[in-house]
Amino acid sequence: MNSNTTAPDATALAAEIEAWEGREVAAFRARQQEKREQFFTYGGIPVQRVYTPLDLAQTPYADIGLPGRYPFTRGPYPTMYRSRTWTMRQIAGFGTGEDTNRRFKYLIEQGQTGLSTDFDMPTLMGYDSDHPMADGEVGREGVAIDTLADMEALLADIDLEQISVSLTINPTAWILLAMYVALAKRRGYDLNKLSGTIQADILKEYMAQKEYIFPIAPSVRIVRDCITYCAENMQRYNPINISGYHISEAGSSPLHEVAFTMCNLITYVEEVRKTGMEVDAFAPRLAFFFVSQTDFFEEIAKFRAARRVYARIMRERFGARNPDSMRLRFHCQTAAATLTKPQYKVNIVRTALQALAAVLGGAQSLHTNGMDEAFSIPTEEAMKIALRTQQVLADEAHVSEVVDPIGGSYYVESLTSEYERRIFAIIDEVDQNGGTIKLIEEGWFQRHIADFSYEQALNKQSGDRPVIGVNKYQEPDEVADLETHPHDPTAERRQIDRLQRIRRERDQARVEALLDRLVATARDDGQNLLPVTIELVEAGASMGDIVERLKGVWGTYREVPVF
Amino acid sequence: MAPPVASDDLVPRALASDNAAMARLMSRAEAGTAECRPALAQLYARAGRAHVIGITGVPGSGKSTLVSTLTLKLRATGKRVGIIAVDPSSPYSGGSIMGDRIRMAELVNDDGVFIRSMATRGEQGGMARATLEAVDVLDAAGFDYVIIETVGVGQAEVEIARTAHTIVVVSAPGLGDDIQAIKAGILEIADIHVVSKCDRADANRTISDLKTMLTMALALGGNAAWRTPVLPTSAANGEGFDQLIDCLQRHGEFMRDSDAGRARVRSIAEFRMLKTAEALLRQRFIDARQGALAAVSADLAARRISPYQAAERLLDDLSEKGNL
Repeated sequence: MNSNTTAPDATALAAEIEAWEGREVAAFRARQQEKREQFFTYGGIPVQRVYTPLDLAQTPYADIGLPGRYPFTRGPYPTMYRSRTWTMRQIAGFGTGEDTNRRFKYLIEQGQTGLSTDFDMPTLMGYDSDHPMADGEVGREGVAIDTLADMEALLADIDLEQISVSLTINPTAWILLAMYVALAKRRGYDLNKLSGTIQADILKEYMAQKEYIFPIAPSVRIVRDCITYCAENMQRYNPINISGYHISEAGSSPLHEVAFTMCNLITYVEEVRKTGMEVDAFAPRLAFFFVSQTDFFEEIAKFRAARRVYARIMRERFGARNPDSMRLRFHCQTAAATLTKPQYKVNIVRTALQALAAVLGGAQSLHTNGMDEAFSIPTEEAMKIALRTQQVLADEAHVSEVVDPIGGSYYVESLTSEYERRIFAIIDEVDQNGGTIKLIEEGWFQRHIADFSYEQALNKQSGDRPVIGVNKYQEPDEVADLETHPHDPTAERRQIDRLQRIRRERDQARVEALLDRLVATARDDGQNLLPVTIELVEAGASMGDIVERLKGVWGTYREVPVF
Repeated sequence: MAPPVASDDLVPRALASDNAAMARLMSRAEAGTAECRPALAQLYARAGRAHVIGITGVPGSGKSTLVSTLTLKLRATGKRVGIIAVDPSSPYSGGSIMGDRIRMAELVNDDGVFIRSMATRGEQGGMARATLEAVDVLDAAGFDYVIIETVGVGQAEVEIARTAHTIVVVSAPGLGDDIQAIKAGILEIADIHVVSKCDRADANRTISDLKTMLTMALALGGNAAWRTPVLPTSAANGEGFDQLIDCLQRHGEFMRDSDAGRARVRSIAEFRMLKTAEALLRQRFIDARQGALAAVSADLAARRISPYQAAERLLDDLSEKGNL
């Protein structure tokens, strides 16, 4: 072997670095000082001037390994995008099922390869569209779904065996899943052929997004029921999307995003195992959802570390044996909280960089934000440019030919290992302090999120963290020239008309009898809620019917504001 | 009865930190008599070195406990501390719970600590003037820190807090949301936020909610010169006090060394001038109006002029005679 191509041994390398610092670095710093004494990642991890093989001394080669092999640092699959490009999954949702169905078809025509659904606030919170709490919100920030008929309109003429559908919904997730199953049965699909995802990650709601209805215990039981039902009936369906995205959007650091998500994972796996189900029977369908934030290399390291941590948790903590139980698959969305109103077109560039980090980090599916999303839900035009951004990455940039092309970077490998160490340290701390649910109730996670969020706000306020157009290169006279997505005032009426027609036409006695069965099922923690819920939606029961009855059984969760 | 000592004669004794002399000057300042003004002017000229810290928060937020603990910590570094309590519920003003009394005992017997409580009566604005004159007495006497403790409810109390170099707003877990809502009005004046009683589990919620609220209120323009910290403290286990002292020092330097800080020192001086001018004007008006009311009140009573016109005529009359 030619000795010129191998790195020198550690002692020689350390001596070389010392000499370099004494000569070249010192000479350059004498001419021009570095901008800071110490640089940090966005997440606050200190970084060095340069990384060398010395920094990988604590990272055995086996930790890096090969793609598709334990611990999956380099990717869940051996061939990655060489076989199949990531799924381009732009989220959409507004108005009625018909309105969103038109946007879905437009996006498919534009080359989108997966669907993702945003629901309006009443649907997310379990209110029917004609409930007083829903007034003015119907179809505004997402699509309104009350009954199975709405779901049929939403997915009309879309082949569910060909395209996967993601449903972004949490406290009422199992009802949407029931509607999806009922629809698939009605259309004669084989449930085991349907792919898709339901978010159903309730714990991050208590931590971050605050869209919850019931107390924590029954809410976790709903998640458990979704997972066990799918494990037994829908082989290819992801019954949960364990999400760091919302934790990040609530203001957390990238480290806490992943660490807290893993804490939630552990809680769900423990809950399902209590039913007697083996980990390998359900773990292969657990899916994740992370943000791609602003620090390019840190995000790549974060995704790689998340895969390694997950593999270790599943194998070492839970005794999984099937490699599919150890492959972390994730959907990724660029960071909506980084979008700005001033000079909003710059958002296209931010989003492109975040999307590139997601691709280099090995995402399975990706949503790129629209440039106008600091103002409103995106227009068709904004969504098209966002989708084109992904298509440029996939077809023009040549970033998908080589698997994990950043692998082996002294910096990124070192940061990946640092992330792994820090994530496990947080998991240990949570274990030692009584576990995730207890610490949610004590506000421990919320406190960490608020700490980082406030720190970042101070950094923006002082200019330490530049945001182009906001605190640097401002244009005080700028007039925003964009047209935002129009809210259709007829949507609410159309939606309520259909809901009330269904209520009139359904067999009310049958619905009542099923609701009584639902209550009995809810009272028996050993039973699964899905079968009776599927029957309910088939019989024309609305989301509000189901949720209101269960509030009577379980009560609701409330956080009293301090200020 | 011996004739009272002239205020001017109390000045050298006050400068030598004679407790009785300082107390008498403060009482005279509070009474607002003209006799003490030259003495106070002498003290004002010699003051300007002390770091004036305003500590404010709702009753039950742990202000007084914070003041006691902070004072003990500052004393441990050899610094002299003056405390001015403008708070009827403060143990320094008589209201207290047993724990505070015990903590206070250590301070009361310490020559390096001077405690004064201001009556919260008197005319609007007079309290701010008297409080700041008491600060001058302590400052001129060489106290390193002067802490003004006010209850964070009511405009007059908030105004006093604003005359400090460094404003510390204290929040606490476990208070009802109705109480904390009153305080929401003073959150934005803080240079340092303290969340007391952080040994309690529910302190996390208080800190998260406070930070979330502050985040929404921040202007992200990129030119803020001071980062407002949120510090958890616990008088029970001493947590957070080193950080608090460090933040106080950094803020003191910021006020001294930055343009923004110097501008604020000037605006505090302007505020004192305005408050004093308002008080003087009010007193002159009260003195001058004796006997001048009759000239306009007949027309007013007969409804020939409106109250507004009557008031204008009264003021014009007093001005023409040079009485205002």
